[in-house]
Amino acid sequence: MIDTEPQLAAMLEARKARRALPPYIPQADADVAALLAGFFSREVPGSTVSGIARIGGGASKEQFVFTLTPPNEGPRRYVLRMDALEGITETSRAREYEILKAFRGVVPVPDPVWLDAEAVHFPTPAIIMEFVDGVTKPQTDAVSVTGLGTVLGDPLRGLIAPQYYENLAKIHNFDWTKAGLKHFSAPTADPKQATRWLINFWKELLEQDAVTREPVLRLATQWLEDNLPDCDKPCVVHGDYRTGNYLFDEASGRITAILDWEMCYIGDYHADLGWLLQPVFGSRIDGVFRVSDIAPRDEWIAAYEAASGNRVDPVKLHYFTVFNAWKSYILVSALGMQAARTAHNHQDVLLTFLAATGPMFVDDLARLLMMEESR
Amino acid sequence: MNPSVDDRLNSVLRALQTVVLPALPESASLAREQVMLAMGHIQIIQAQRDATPAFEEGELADIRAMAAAVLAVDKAPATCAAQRAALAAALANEAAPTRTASEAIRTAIDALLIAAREADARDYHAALAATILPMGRARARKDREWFAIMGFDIELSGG
Repeated sequence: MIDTEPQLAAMLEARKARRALPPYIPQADADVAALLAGFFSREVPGSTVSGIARIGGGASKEQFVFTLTPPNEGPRRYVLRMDALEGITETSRAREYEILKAFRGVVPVPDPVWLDAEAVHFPTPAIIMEFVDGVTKPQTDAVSVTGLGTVLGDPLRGLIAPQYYENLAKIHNFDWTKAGLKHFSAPTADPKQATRWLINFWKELLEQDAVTREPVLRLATQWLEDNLPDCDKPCVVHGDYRTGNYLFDEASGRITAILDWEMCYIGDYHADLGWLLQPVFGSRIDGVFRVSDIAPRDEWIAAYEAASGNRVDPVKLHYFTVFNAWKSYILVSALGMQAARTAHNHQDVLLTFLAATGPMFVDDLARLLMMEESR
Repeated sequence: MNPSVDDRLNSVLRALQTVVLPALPESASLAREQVMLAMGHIQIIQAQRDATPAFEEGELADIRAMAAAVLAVDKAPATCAAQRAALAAALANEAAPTRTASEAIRTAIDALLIAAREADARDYHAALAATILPMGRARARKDREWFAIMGFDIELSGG
């Protein structure tokens, strides 16, 4: 197995066996109803399941909202998230469940209530969490894919911004050593282990799933391997923190839940910054670029430093800017395209749409690596 | 008269837009999203259809130019000889279909980059990088322009 977080190394081995499986058929609503009825007949005897509806959006999991009414209690809404055979990400429901539990009461998150990590009851690994009210974008905003290009606008931008910084600061300053995270490993053997594990994980995904051998990607992989930075303060890295991945109440601007923790791991906080600072996750209005439609880049970095107390090291930020352009390419042009080609996902048509962003990341990687050369 | 490709695609679009989509309840959010994405794909394919052969030939011309430039980089270590020979062979193969030929050259360049790094031939590897990066970036810019119509690119999509 490769030198990465042991839980992830095992996951990477297991996914190889799925490659030869026949095409994935999306779950029919009636089948999901039967699965939920069977599951809750054991978990909450006497309860009833109703109001099952598929949720759109996202690019990796099959998701359904439903109502559970336990005996002698009022109805509650929940969300079922089930893996497809393959998708734009390769993640663990057990890790997602555990990290959501750990962050309850720290930042707003949906409460994870049930887990079927080994697909004992559901056909694939599944998690059930509470339904949280809120929207990912204003109702007035145009249709977007997975929240890309979301514009909050005024006055929402001003209402959301302080919470957005504060929540990210709380995630990065969370004391994970006391959280009992059994499905995560601490990369503390040496200062470079955190990022070495990270690079090895994504490199292996690229090797397994590449549908083309892009020379710029190979150069980026080699540069990332040759320039591993020290991680002075291993922390929880969300992995996909950006506008489009939190819910908010449109009337008040209150953030009601931080979503999409599935790519979470313990590593360098600069990785989250390099991710969300990417142009693809921002907005450009009247010539002004805003990170996550929150603030211009320099203003954003200053606000993050003030909220978190974490200093942004420009050398490390540059490294993780390269990393995140590389990771983004791997997501959309390797994992997403491979899942579509093997028909192992329920959203092939979305995955091939998203793959069109690949050249943006190649362009960015070439630009960033040329900057390195000129130093 | 034979129905043209556009006639047929337009009829598919119209069926999706006026029959399939209205028949889907608001609650069928995934199905509705998939139909709209399928319509978007078809419209973009229509817009790109006539220019596609030239685009793919341009891709091949660019990767061939990169391969020739890479082969012109001197001071290759002996341990890279096999990979250079494989790249030269891929470049010389003019019989392969366009996309197959492009991929064969990309794969050969990839193997050479791996060999150069494993040989610890730093100057040679740096010279390869200096050759590849500007050409790779120029190609990526063309690809971005090609896909700007999909609306993701805040610089080129007019967002």
